[in-house]
Amino acid sequence: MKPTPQQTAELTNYLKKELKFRESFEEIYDHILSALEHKADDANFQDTVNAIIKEDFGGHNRLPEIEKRIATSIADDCRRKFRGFFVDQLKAPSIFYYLPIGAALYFILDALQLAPKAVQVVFVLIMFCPSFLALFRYFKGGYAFEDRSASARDKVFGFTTWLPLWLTGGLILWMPKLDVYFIAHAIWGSGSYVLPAILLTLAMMYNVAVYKLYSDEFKFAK
Amino acid sequence: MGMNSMLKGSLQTIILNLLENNSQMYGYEITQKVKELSDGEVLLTEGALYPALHKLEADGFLETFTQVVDNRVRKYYRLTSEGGEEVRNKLKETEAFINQLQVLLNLKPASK
Repeated sequence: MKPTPQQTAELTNYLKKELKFRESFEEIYDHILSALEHKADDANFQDTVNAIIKEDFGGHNRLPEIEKRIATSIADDCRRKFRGFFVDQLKAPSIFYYLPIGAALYFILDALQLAPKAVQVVFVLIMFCPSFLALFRYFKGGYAFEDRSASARDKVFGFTTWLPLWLTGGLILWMPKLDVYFIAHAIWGSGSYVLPAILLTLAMMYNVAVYKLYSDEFKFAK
Repeated sequence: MGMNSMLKGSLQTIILNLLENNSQMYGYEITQKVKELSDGEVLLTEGALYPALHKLEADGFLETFTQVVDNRVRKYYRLTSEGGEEVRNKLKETEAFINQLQVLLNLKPASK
């Protein structure tokens, strides 16, 4: 059976109402249309779709539960990938690129003799990068997938965006007290830029991990 | 208890083995292949397939890619190298389990 454009639109509208996430919609929609290709041409469209949903998904009322399980697994996969992207940078061969970058940052900061406040501003700017990327992801997602539905990955991207903001917020709140401690112990200021160089390198690694996660989502976009 | 319920625990092994033999497959294709191989005896119903596929992907055993077919997105699954290893482990476990069942229940191996 080959559905007419009107029937396809009806099925799309129905599934969009039942399913919240783009990923589960795409997969279930393709499944139903693939199954329809093997059904008789003279069969009633609605009855056939109902039969497919009952046979292959256990009925209409099971679709939200199936979607929930799919979304949980997609989010788990997303978290696993993000952890992998970050941790991989701490291992060889990536770490051999970051060690000279960290050292270069240290020497640049040392040569410039930047005030701790200026280093903080640079750090805050770097930590805001995932937020800009998250906004751009929403924008690009609509074009790339031709679908503005929510994604099962949104929650994980939300976390990767908020985590550096919480850390930065905490840092700003605690900085006056930390400043005193760090300066007293020559960790910060007084010409010592070891800790700022380490923090900036880690922030850079975090941003690279977020970017890789973002690229992974769009890898197979149309 | 029907055959389908008894096979529920082996769904991941079935999927992994199918993907080892067919390199890449999409959801509907997997349900049809299972139906064909079992002469219609085993049906992947109740939406167990997609959550299982995504779980295997989240565990790193499968990877996915998409293709546009008839103006819709089709998601294909294929084994990762970890998945290839996992399928061999799962098949060994299943074989040992079937051997134990045959001994315990005094069953003769099935013949076709």
